[in-house]
Amino acid sequence: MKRLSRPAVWVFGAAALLGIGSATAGNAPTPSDAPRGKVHRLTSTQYAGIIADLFGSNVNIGGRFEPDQRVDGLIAVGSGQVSVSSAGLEQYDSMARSIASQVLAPDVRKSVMPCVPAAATAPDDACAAKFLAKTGAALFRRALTDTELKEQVTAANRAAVKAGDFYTGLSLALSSLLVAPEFLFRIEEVEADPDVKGGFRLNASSKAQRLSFFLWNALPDKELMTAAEKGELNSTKGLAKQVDRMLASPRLEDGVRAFFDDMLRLDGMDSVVKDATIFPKFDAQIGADAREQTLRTIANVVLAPKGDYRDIFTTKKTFLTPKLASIYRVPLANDAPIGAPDKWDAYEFPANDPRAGILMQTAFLTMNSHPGRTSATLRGKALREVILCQSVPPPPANVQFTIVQDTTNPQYKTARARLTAHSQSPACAGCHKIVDPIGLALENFDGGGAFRTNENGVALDTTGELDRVKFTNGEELGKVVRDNAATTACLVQRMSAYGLGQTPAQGQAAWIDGLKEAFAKDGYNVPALMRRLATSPEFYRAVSAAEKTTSTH
Amino acid sequence: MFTSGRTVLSRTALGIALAAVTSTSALALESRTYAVWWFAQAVSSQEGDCGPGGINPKMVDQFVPNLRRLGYSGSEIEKIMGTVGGDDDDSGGGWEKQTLRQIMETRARVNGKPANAFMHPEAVADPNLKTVIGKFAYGFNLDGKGADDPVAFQDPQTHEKGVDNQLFRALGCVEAYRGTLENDNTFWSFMWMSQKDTTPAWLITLQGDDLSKDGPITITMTRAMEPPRYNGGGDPRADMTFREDPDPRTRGNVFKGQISKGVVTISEPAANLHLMQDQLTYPAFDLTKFHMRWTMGADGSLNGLMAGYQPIEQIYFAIGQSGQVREGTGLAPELPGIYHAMRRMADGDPDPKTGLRLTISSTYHIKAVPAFVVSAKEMDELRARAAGKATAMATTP
Repeated sequence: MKRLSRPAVWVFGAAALLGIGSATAGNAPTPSDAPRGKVHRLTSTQYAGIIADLFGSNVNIGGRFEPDQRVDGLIAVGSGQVSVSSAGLEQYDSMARSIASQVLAPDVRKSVMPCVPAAATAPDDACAAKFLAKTGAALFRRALTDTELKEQVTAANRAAVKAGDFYTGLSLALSSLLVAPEFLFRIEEVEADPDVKGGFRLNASSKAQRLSFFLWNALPDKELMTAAEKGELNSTKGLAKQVDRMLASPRLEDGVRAFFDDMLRLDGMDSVVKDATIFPKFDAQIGADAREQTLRTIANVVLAPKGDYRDIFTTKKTFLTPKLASIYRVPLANDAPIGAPDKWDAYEFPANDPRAGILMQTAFLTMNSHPGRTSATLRGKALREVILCQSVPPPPANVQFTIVQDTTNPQYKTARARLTAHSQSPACAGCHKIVDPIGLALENFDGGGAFRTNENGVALDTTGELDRVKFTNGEELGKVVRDNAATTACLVQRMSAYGLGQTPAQGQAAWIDGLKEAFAKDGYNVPALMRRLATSPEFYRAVSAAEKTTSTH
Repeated sequence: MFTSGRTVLSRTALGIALAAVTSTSALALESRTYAVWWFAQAVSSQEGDCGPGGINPKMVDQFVPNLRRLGYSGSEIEKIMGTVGGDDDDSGGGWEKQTLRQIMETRARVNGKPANAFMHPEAVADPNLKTVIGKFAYGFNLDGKGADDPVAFQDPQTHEKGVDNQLFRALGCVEAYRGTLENDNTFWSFMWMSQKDTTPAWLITLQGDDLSKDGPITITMTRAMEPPRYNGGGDPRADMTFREDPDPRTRGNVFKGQISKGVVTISEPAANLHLMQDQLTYPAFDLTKFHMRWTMGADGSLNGLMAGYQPIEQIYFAIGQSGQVREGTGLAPELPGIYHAMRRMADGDPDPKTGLRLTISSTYHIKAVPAFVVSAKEMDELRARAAGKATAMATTP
């Protein structure tokens, strides 16, 4: 069968598309060193979300996505540095065909078709064009060019003739759109910025894309697209109007969750495996529930009126399923019908409960542990790198892990004792000194997330300090993290990079510093920070490749 | 406010309120709840405990004696049995032959006419199944006769003599009912495994000043709304929350007891247990002179025995409910024979008019894991509070 999509040559990388992302015609002549727009491969979540938005949540995506790559702590940044392998394209192609056949299945197509063909057994170019123009514009986040539309209609026509079926032809054209780079990649286009001499900015449709994926992790909706087409996003007032509308939408929660899922690396829960003999309560469902618990907890804090980001490290309020509650050993009345799937319930840990904040939730505790034991080092390292945006060097190549791995050694009954012995090596001591004291504060929680007071019969010492501020247990660590300046600075850094799709450039350092100050003034309110980012011209400035990026580590 | 406005308020209120309820209820006394995740007859089969010739024959070997008892002649029996499947087929192959199947199914005689043998086991001639003659059985001295009781056993754990466990004696020579505490017998294992995911859990709550020390306690048994939950590996999931079944028939099981060296026993000499269980096993489960010996494990578990006199009809319903299917699969071969064996061994609650013993001393093995319970009353209160707050929220401009 003749391939209807573009030649597969584009799969060799996003770089091949950069021409598309360059300054658009119709604006000022483009200098050879003019910045180019960024190209980002859709994440699996974004891909699935778009399909659900356009065709309904009953469409089964199937297939396997190419692994995402995290750069500078974010998949959102890494997605600008990945391409699609030939094997990956096969998967996209397979998914596209499956999706197209589901969407245009006889009992479903009524909901997506804007017209009825003159005859179901023959081509109908007018009807095909209507469907493809509408769907193509949504998938490409811009109107299809006349040439693009003509190509797709012709392809649908030929296939319909051959198959003797209008919808078979249309299905092939739709699957072609679904593997087009313009769909699989978010392609940002730049234009000369009339307000800044020699400067460049995203064009209107690219602005809409960046804004929508930042705030909602989804395609721009019709209102945003219309505003972009009318040029309203280029005015301060018009942009603010759209930003405020989007911030007020319930869909903001999707965007907030997507950001924190990325920043906290919660996708890692997909691959957490525990030794079932040691942690029998931990299963695949718990992994998914734990990820969801942390996201619900965060959304509940940061999206509350005047919500303070820092409180995610100290809040006693969370959400639980019955199975999660059993890990926390707390009662949870679930008023669901007998036999119904587990539901989520809001829960508040009592004041005397040792748990508070996301660091003492199953996701953080289990993801940063080994399959059969805790790891104060992994927990401390994660806190430094993920929450505080600091860098911890990798271990030396010749490191000996024997002592820390042997939890049955009667000489070293606790993780603290084992790590103390292990850290006698000068090559290890430096790094362990900065991560272990933090991680050891969480030793009251085993590798499966359950609370414990001792290890091998020895009472646990959970004291330590972070940046010379002392604490005696996990809950106090949460407070120390909450009040650490690096915590909020890191959030600003990460959220900026997330929205921009790249680590902020060196020239944007002052802007970032300003955001950090503003974040404090705004009471560390996340939606307020998102608003400042989304309404800032800097957020849409096209940064040239020559500009160096700042280091977040 | 707890919620961001994006969360269903009733759930929020419920969670907070529950925390409050559970914390206040624990102020005065320590309370621990357990969910029973394993239930089986307690057996202690030993080599030779059925005497010479061993255990009772399999069902396929009961056909000819049954036909003889029904009055069939040798040649008739030969003809009927000639229709049976292969000789080595002991799994019920013969049931495919309609003639034998019908004869076996209707081997009861009511007013001289064939009747369903499983519905009328008392109307089937007693095949006199062998019963246990061994010395050991798990249980308690329920009748107080102690070592003087000629039909009593000795408990293999406590070595106490005078143990009454006539259910073990009645069934213990039928292959599917033989086993040990470590390897529960086939019948009860099958029953439990086939129903564990749908049968509401029994809950045991112990309450006392300090459950880590010896002393008096209150023991409460009730039924949950939910079945027990299990981990991925099939082991029971501890620390789940269960809602108490508001059915009044499951209430009232509150007993005085004590803890001694980590073992829970009852103090009342004449306590009666009445619980509801699975509709297909024990719609009702009764034990008079209820006794228990439950060990509180270091891992938080509660395992052990419970015993008492149980109505024979209840037990027969559990065993005989599927009639010919049970006989055919070997889970309950010679069902009317089992009924008669229980009748013969019955040792409790004589009928005042007929003198017929209506109950039989029985011992069961249970295993339980720590759990949380929300009482029906608490659940109602929480729902009311949640509904009230939701209403207030809905009417707030």
